[in-house]
Amino acid sequence: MTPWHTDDGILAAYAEGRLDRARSASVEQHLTGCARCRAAVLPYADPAVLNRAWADTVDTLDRPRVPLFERMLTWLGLPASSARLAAGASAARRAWVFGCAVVAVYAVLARDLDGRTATWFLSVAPLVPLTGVAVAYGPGSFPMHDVVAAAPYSVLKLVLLRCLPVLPMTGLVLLAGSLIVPDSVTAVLWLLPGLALAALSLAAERYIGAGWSIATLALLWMGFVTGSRWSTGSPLAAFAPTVQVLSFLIVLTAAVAAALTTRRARRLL
Amino acid sequence: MTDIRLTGVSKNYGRHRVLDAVTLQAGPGVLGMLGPNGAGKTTLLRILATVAGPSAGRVELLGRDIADPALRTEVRRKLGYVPQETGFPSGFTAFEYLDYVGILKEMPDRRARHDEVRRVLDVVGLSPMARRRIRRLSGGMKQRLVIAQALLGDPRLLVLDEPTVGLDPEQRLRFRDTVSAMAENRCVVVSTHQTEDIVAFCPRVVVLHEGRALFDGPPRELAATAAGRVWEGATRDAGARLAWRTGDGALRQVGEPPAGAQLVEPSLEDGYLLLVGRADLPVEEVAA
Repeated sequence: MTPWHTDDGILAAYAEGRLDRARSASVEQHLTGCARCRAAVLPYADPAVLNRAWADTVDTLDRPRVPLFERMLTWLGLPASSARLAAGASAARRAWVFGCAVVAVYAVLARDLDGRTATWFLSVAPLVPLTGVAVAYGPGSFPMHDVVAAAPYSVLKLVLLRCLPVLPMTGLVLLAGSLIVPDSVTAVLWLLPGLALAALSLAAERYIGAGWSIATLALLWMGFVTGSRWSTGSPLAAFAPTVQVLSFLIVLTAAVAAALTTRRARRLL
Repeated sequence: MTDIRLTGVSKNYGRHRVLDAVTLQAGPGVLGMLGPNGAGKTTLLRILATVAGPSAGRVELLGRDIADPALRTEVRRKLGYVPQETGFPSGFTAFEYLDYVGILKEMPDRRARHDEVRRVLDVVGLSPMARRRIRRLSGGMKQRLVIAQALLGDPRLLVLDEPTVGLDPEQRLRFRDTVSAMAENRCVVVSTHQTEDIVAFCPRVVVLHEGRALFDGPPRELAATAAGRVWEGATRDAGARLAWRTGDGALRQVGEPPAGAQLVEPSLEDGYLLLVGRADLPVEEVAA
């Protein structure tokens, strides 16, 4: 307890927020050690302000820690709530990393093999994003599946967010792919068909479920690769310009649909 | 108001029919679902939670046909769901988990969402555990956490699949108190194996068996179906469908009158056992 006390007029000005920052700090310093002045300032304080200050304090103390990965996503411009959803799918992220790593290792090992192996790599690589979608949304890979499925959050947006953490690994696959094919243009041939297959699986998911849509598309793709090779004699027939253009159109349509879905969801909020 | 309207709802998994033309209507209040394992309770509740769609029939929730994706999303905005089994994202605390579900329930404002998280933690008595990692919570606490996520956003329709599993008697009472209070102005569907839960707080019970609704009415009417068929005596009668020794040593028997036995007041459990046992249950002795 200090021997001197703050003047009532100063306490009133402090409580009403009329003091400058230096004087406020001085009064606060005194209040922390003086029970009599703390009691004296109470009648001047607005209960609403006190409640708000208390709620702010509780909120600051209770606020969950933000993991590094989530902070990185926020720094990259993702809204905090979306970053939390993306970062929360750690199980999916691990499965994705594992899947991509397997493909990358396969690609590196295949580097010294003949062109036929490279062709097979290109044929299988488009299925990687498709598998990623399965991992990101499948009931086996995400323990909260039923809770998530009953929530109103856009499934498409959620799956895209869940896929976000694996983009660096997809880049790694791309890099590995470029190691086994003779030129960099051929190395990226799988990318557009891969994204198109992932988009189609997302579109079909709502009608026939994730498992069936992914299995069906994977079979169709492998059938298309084999059939086009058999009919034309060219190992890269499945990656012809027409296929690339068609894939691009599918990806573009999916991007527009995703944007419209998100906008509609925002309007409904 | 009718919050749930099911018309001829069936669900098949391959050739196996899990639900067979179930028709049901429900408004505000607690609706209890009883039935043996494999009766179709979880499938029905997953349909009510919009997680699964019916193979046939029409499902209207809160006045909306959930076959329409946009209307289904509207229903989900007003829905709370406790699945029979669920996991948790690895590494999350109780608060972070509820915060995560809050985002999924379209609560974009962080401050309002956190206030709501604190509210539901308080409702289920987990406020002191808010910052504890989920993997360090007991089974009962995890179950309360799952119940808490269902309460986020003050839903109009609550679908709870065996929510009292893992709760101790005190927590179960607290749960009944919470659900009863909520059911005053909203529809709550509770699936359970616990007949005492049904007696305690469900004014209406539906008994499912092999995908069909065998009974729909007040619990006392279900108990009354066993009137004149429940006996207590000293010895087991060969004609009893079910018999078990009660806590006070008497042999309680359900079925035809055993010699020298006294007719007693039937319980909900007696009515339930007779109803589902009539179809296919073998005569067996159940240890009390």
